[in-house]
Amino acid sequence: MRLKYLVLSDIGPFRGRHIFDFSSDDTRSGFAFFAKNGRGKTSIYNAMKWALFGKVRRKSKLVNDKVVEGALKPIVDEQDYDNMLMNYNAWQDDTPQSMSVLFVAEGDFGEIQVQRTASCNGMARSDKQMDILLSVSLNGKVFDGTEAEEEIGKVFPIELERFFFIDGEEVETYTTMMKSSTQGIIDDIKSILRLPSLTRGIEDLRSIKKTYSEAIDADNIQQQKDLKQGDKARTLHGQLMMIRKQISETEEEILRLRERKEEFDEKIKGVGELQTYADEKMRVDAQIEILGPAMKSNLETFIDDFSNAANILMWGKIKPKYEKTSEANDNLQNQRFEMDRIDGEIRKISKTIAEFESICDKCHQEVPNAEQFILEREKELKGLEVKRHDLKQASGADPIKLRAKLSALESFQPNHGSLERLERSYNAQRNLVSQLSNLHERQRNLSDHVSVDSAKEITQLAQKSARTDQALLKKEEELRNLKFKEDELDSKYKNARPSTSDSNKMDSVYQLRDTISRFIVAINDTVKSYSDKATEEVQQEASKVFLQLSNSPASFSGIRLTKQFKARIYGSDGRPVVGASSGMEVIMTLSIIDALRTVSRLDAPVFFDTPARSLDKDHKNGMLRYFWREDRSQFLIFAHSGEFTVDEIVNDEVAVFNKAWELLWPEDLEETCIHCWSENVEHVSKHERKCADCGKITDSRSRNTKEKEVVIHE
Amino acid sequence: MADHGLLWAEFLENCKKQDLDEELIEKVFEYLMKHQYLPQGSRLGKHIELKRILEQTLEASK
Repeated sequence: MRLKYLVLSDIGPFRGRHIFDFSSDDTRSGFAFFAKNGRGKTSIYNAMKWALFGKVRRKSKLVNDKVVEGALKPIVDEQDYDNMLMNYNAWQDDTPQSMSVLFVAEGDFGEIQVQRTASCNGMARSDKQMDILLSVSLNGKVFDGTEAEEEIGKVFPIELERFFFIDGEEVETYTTMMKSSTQGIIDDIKSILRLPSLTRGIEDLRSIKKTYSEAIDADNIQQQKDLKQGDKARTLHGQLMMIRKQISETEEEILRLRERKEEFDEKIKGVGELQTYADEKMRVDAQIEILGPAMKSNLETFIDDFSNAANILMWGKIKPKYEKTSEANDNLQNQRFEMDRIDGEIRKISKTIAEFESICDKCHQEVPNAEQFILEREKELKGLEVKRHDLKQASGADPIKLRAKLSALESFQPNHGSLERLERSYNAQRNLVSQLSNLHERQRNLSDHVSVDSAKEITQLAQKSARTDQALLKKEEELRNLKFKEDELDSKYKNARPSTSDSNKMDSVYQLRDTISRFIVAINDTVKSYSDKATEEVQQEASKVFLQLSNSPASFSGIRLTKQFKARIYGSDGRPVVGASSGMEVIMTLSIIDALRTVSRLDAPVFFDTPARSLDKDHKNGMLRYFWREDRSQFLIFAHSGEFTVDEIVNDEVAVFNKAWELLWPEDLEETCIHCWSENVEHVSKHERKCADCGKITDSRSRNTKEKEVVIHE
Repeated sequence: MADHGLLWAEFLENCKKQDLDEELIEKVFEYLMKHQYLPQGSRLGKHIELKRILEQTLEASK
């Protein structure tokens, strides 16, 4: 934790609001307040304590080696004005009355702002009449009341007060406590080493363990009750466990089969190209097998069709002759038909002529032109007889012979479509032969790619994959049946099982109790081992600091601490130092306190009031040089004029602080304005001087403190 | 986690000897540090926090 701002309002000699800004880019850890007595060094120191813990105690005392805590300092006190926390003038003059401390700090936790205010509407005669308000803002989240106290406790616990608020007047008491190892200091050392975190943690764990133990005890009682009625449940549970075991085995078997199948499939995939050839070959083989019978059938048809081939060939030669003969025959027939028709005409005309009479039967008169008519008929008859004669002359061939010849020629004529059929079956046969030939060629080519062995291997792999598939299906079916049985049994078991005991939940409870037990053992072991090692580390670290702060390091070997944190300075001769000076012992105490902070990794500002009370100059300066280094926790000293003055530390070259202030009353400044530090003042009365720059009056009787930042001109 | 030096080292070592899970060890240590200065009388409400840490971490590890 690093303090950034501190704002005091009406506290101690600080009337009104006073802001101390600790923020800076300077990484040095030192801060200082220089003042004469009464100017408010301890008031700032107490204000921080009051803001953090809500109370400020007077100094503790050692009575018979026992620490007697000091009484609480009141906010207001009618009996003892000097002892109260609130500014006297504010208490006397203000209505309402109020005193407040606000500080802003940052650390691992982020930024914290703490404000504690005491107020009263009227004149408060005691603290009971004051309203105390605490407000904590941690990274913007605001807390008040107990929550606010808890948040402060996480950042700066009261248990660490003794090691971070060091009162020079009390260091000697610390030293006595450390030398005699009193219980108070042991407890405080344990606190700073965080041992209570472990011991309190054990208590927390025990408390939780107790709840689990109670739950387990209750469950055991219930289980005993259930035992009597649980026989059936146990049997069912046994069966259920058996089924679950079978399910587990079957699932494993399925897993194995799947892996195996994947393996086969992977291998088959690996010979994928061969597989393509193998498939192609199988198709070719199948086609050849089909083509065989097809060819046989076609060949029979072809042979059948081919039996007409001679006729077809001869017919090619005979056909013209046949057609000619047929034509002659047709002509002869036509002539004969014409001759027959002419004969019919001749007969008809002859009859007409023969029967013609020149007198009409009906009217019995002479027919006109009868002779002409007969002549024309006779002429017509003569023309027909000539035509018949010509026809008879033209058809010289013997019709019987001609028909015989035609018949003979017709016997060579092939059946209708024989040639087309022959051509078709021939072409078909030729195609089949060609196909077969191509297939055989393809078969030979494929055989070059797919050896008999690899084809066999592929076939075997395919067979194995198929068999695995079958086994897988069978196992999956088995699994379905087992799961069905499991559901059935589970349902029966749940019904039969006593409902009060949830075995899963109880398993967790047993596990939690066991875990807690192991944590308790581990923490107890840690308390022992850490205490030993931490003491050892504190001893080493304290010795290192002590030798660094000592003005005669060659005379000492360091500090030794017992398990009870009893401290002793040892000389370089290995013997305890007898009659060590009080300054040496204070340095020892400071060394141990610093070592404790280092070992416990606590990072918080150290407030050291009257730090050099028992120290000589060498030790004083050594202390400042040691604590005012870079990158350490802040180290604030509140030094009175008898310990350090600004001029002294500048002259001694130990003014290596980050920031410092002088706390002043008007009487500390003779010719200076207390308000603006101007030296352009004019005395206007015995006690008052007026500032020519700001116009304000400085009253030398006022005991209101004003802070002035120290500026070192290098 | 803030630097707790020797204390954390010892705590971790002793917890590991007890076969405790490191994630849980860290969470329990954080709890101990967070409430290290809370007095016994004010810790009752905090037990629930520790109980939850134990239960949730063990549940998550199943």
